Amino acid sequence: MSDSEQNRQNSAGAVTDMAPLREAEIIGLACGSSHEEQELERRLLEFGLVEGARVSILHEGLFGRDPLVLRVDDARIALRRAQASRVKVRVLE
Amino acid sequence: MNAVTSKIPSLALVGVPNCGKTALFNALTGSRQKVANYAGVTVERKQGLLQLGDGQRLFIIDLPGTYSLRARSPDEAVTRDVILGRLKDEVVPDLLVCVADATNLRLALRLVLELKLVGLPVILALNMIDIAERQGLRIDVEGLSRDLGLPVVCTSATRKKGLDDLTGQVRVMLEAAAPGPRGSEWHIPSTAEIRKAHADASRIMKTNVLPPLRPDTWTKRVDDVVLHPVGGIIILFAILFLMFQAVFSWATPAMDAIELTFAELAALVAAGFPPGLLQSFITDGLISGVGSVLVFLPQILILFFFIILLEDFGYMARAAFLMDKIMGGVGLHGRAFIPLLSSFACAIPGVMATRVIENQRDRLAVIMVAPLMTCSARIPVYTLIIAAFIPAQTVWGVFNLQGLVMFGLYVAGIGSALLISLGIRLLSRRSPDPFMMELPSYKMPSAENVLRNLWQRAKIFIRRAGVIIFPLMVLIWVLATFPQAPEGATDPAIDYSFAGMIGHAIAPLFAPIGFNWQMTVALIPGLAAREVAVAALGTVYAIGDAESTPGLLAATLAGQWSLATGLAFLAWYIFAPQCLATLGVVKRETNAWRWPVLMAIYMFVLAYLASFVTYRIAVTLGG
Repeated sequence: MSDSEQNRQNSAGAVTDMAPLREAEIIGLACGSSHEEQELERRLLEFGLVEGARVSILHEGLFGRDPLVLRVDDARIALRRAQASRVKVRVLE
Repeated sequence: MNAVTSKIPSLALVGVPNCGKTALFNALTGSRQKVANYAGVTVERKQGLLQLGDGQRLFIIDLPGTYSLRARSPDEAVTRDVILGRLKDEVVPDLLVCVADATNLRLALRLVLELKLVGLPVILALNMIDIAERQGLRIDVEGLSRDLGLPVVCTSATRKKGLDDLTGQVRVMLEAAAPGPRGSEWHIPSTAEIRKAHADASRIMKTNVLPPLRPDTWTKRVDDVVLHPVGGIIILFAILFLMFQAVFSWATPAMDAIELTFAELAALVAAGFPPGLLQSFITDGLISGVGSVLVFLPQILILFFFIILLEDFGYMARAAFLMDKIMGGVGLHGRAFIPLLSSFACAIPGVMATRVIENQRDRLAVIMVAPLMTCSARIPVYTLIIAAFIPAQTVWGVFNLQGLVMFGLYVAGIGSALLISLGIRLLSRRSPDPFMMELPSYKMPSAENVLRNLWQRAKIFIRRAGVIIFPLMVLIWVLATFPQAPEGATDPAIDYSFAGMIGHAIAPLFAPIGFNWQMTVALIPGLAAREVAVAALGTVYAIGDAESTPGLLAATLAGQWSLATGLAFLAWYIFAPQCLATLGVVKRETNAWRWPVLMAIYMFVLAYLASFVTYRIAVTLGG
């Protein structure tokens, strides 16, 4: 799904833009094709951040609300905003 | 089993972090364990022996936790290499047991699918099944086994349930296994392949696992408090403060008892032997030397007790989360928190624990500052000097002044570590590596595991006292006793000894920072290990002054040193790299002499500067 398609849907955006405790479904990972970016994408995938997974924000850090703890299906994953912002979601009603 | 191959078959335990793998390893092997290093690399290898009942034995290897064989950290690389048989001189396992937390299966199922490609027989152990049952999690074990195409057993390592099922299954698999090499289809998965595996795992999960009837709400409730943006950090620091206060107040009775025992032992020996060299060797060399080190065992055990408890409870990952931003400010990774906290016990496990940090440069930065954390070997030195120079009074109604000074010393160590890290970051100028970790559900720590761990720590410390410190104490006694004072000498006997000569020779170098020659004598053996300095001081003063008794070393020092000297000695020990073992481990972990040499130089320079400044300020202020 391209960025413009995502923007057309009101409820779509990065997981980092979500209000805490709202639930969303992952619709894609915005990672490039460079070696480093591919590495990051694999890492995110290995932690269960994969299309179709349910996510919500559980906790946020004190400084700059960073890092954050996401609930990803049944797991709790801590990561920094910089990486979490790659996770594109559609907020569920 | 093939009758021709008489070798003992081996199985490797694999799993994602926090799946209870090590608990299962302990439950299977009991006390028949051996902890060593893998050849060529310093990742800890835990191996144990399991009796299968009919006389057959089985090697069990506990591999570091990983989410994928696509290893990123040195730790994960070992797991991959052992499984793929790429590690020279290591036995290739005959069988893999993938351990999974039954309450958190999704990521484990993906790992199992990856492990199947290796070509070894795989068994899936649904561990922590007791917790899953309590939550009312409904798992169709047979369906899971059918869909995954491998045997599935339910275990609870802490309750020792399902172990017979597991070993029974292991035996069946070993008998069925065809001998000879197996073709591995494993390769580094592409993002598309990982997605496919996730989709498969999700499908298998959906058909065979129904969500829990009574989900764990406990973890969320605890996290709401301990991960609160402000409250969480306050709680973290409160825990650390409590930990260090406990080290001081709880340990006192045990320490008094140990001191008394050694004093009585010395008195007994003194009464039983005629005065002379032999009596002096036993009381001053052996008993007072070993006693002055063993007395710190209670404090070290209390410190480790807290660390093990927090780790087993699941809090350590939270601490890493809370500290990530704070430590990120100076260029450290949140994951660095655990190695650095371990370094409070001992820099050696701390340096070794940096293996979980994926990026080599991040890891190096942590290694370089880990020895600045106040390790337990400094406790003897700090305690002695504090007891000698800081009055045991209560300030602000609740705090013990001695405890506060101790806390200050810890803060000084942490502060300097942060500053050095900042320096390293400014020098290297690069973007930080991603911080990502799973926060495990909270678990009640098992008393058995905590005790087993503590026992291992105690053994390591006592062995250290015996193997490293004991011979050094004998050496110190020899240096401090020979040559003996001539007939009719007026000065103390130690003035005539080798120790006196060396101490006097290097004393001018240390005079500007307020050290006397007795202290410089103690610094030399103290290079081997920090706590040796205390024992050496004990020996030097016990021999130098017949009036003092080993138990009253602090009182002797209070009489002999100025306050400024005492404080300068404390400042020295915040920084000085007085531990050859740490430098050795840094050499091994970095595989280059450059880093331990650099570490030794920067720490000695800092130590000298800190002592100099402390001494001068204290003298100026009238100390």
